[in-house]
Amino acid sequence: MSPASAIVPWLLTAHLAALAISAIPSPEALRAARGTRESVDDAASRIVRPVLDSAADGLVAMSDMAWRITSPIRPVVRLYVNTLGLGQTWSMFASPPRGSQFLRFRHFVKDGTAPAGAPERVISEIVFPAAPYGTVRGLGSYWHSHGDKATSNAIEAYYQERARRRTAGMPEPREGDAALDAALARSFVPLVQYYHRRFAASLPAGDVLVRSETWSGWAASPHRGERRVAEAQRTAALAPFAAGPVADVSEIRRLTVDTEAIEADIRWTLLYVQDGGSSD
Amino acid sequence: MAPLTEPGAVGDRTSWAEFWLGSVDPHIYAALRVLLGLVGLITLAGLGDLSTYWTCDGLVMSSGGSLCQAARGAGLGWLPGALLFAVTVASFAAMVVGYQTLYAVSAAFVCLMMIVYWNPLPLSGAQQVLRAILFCLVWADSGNVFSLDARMARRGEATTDNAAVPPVPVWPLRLFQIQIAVIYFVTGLWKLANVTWRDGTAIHYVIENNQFARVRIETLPIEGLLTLATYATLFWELGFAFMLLHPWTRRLALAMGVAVHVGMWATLELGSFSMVMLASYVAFADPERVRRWMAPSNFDPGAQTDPND
Repeated sequence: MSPASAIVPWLLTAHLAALAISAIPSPEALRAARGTRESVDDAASRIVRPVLDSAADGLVAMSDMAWRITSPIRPVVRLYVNTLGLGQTWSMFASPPRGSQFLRFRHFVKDGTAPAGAPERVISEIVFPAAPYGTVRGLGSYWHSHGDKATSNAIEAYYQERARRRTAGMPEPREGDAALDAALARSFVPLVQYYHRRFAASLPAGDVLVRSETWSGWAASPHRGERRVAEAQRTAALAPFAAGPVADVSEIRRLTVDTEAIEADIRWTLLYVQDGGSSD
Repeated sequence: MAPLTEPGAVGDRTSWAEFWLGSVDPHIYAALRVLLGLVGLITLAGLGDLSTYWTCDGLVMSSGGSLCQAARGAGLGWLPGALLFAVTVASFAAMVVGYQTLYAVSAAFVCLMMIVYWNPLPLSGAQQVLRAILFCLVWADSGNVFSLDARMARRGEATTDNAAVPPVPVWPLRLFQIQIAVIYFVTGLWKLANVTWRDGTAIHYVIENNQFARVRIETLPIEGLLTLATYATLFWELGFAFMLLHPWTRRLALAMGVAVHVGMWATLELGSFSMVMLASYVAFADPERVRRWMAPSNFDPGAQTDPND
């Protein structure tokens, strides 16, 4: 047997062991993935769910044990798999969202030629999902999917940071929160700045974009066996945005972070404010 | 050497080392190289809006970093991302045609890693899978056949197109197969941990979500079907790795996989995920069948492909 033939199995064994170890979820991650049960059982789940619940309890116990046993070598494993980009967190759709999410910008525009004190115009656009609500996603939606993924990743990073701050006992963020900006400098902030710049570039000459409010919308999905109750209202609320940005005449005040508004069955929350001169 | 797909192949082996250190016809690696190269190019086409996904003023994670600040200062904010995009496209294109194959596959893998550092925001599980399986392909002799490299090599030698192609090490293929099995098993475990997969409502919520579903449909009339689909998906993912161990269950696992991924592609917009997974299934095909399909003029039923036979 050649030296290479003797070494290869050991290298492969080490590599596969590293993959297996990196695939073990942390107890915290597994607990966060559990979710809460909200739907009543149907005929199939009445039989299957209790079996799977028991299996899941065993899984959590085994995973916790595996996590503890592999803890000493985890730093080396993490270094190896992270360096090669081979992390084994295959949790795609493990926790499916139980509602529909939207991202909306309220842009405050000032006419540069208007006198000081002139009111600002507020123009809203929904940027996520990219496809207008209720439209069929055909082959062309492939190109929207990456933008939607970028937006959803950024929103997730925002909420994770908010949760981390809450757990750490930090105060809720306000406009211009430098610590929040720093924490989200590689996720949510680039998203906001991109849409802020994009809208600014679309303005006619003389208009100035002075402020962009980032609003997240959430509409809960019906549980299994329930009918949708507000679909028509939701569709009507979102329809104006199908053709692009819409002038907002109902509310032109500047609002503060965590302000909430209800529109049909969508709960909008103000997440972040981008001022006009701070997008670089 | 008996390929993985022969009945009882794994159980009949007298040597575990042969499983890893045996040899296989290289056409299967060539098929994977071409398919994954095409999937890579399709992925890049989806990210082809350079001003959004690659330039320093785009929706780019690195937009606030020092490289972008320096590039913008020099009026070259478009350059770093555009260069990375161009090199990545070239790498995958070279993979497809089999030009400088080893370097092309390696470069494609490295480029995918660099994209994670440059801008992971638009990336999904599809790119994560592609990276993981490209790592396996890096170690394979995927340019021996069905490639520009092979054609140029033959030009310099006194050989014909019908010359027997020597077999190549099988262990990268085993690595590939195990990686796919790990993906399904681990994702099955994550799903098992979540209550919506255990109570059968997961696919109901996926269909109701506004980001993925291709068509907004009323789920009430098909709830029972969605519950069954949820359980079928869960059990298939958890069982995939074990079903590979026997030829009959292996075919069932792969057939179910094709059904699941085609169904996902038809009903959900998930980027290139289904394409990546379906392309990877070639790793489980009969290497002899792949060789017949890719090079029918080379097929000789009596030929021995394993020099150790």
